[in-house]
Amino acid sequence: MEDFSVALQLYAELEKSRGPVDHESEDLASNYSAARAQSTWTSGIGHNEEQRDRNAYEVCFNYAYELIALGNLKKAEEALTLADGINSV
Amino acid sequence: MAETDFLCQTMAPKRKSDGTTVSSSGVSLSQLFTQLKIAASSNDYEQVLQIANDVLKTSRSDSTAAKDKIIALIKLDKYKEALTFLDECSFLNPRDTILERGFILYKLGKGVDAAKVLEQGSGRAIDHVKAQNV
Repeated sequence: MEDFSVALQLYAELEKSRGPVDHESEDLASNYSAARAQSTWTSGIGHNEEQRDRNAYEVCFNYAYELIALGNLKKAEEALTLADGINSV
Repeated sequence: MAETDFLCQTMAPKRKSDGTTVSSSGVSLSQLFTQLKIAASSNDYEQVLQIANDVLKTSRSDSTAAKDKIIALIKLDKYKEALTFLDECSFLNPRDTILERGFILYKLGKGVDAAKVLEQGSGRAIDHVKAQNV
């Protein structure tokens, strides 16, 4: 268990097409960012690209979590401030 | 009367003289199914559970009612009860409940068991649960 690379791969595949469920893309973005943050937290390895779609509370919050794992507290604080300014769904 | 005939008789819904089927509460099964459909479409899962139970009292192996009951129990966060009931539903084809069983096991924290079940299926919903279950 806890193989977040598998989760990231599955989310990347799911993002390629649209499902019939409402708000699925928001859930996908949120879950993808959570898997990414947990992957960084457990492996200590960052991701090359910056977190995309930083317009949702969950994504910003998870990005902050990822940045804290990398010791980048200044950017983490920025992400948390951004999250704070977005109303959670 | 052979034993199997007895089982068939007890499990079969009661039939009125006009041929329609009635539940133990006297409401016809088709009426119950209409109510079940309305409750499910309005996301009233307490109501879905109640009506599905009413259907199953009369028609014990009704797979539509059984699946609706499983979904209702999941939506009401009653995962233990959902798993117990799912195990009781030997009349359901396990291939038709891979998603439900996998999700219930995942929610009960039985990740290894959930992964084994989910591996047997495919599709978008199953991939969502697989990703959450890592």
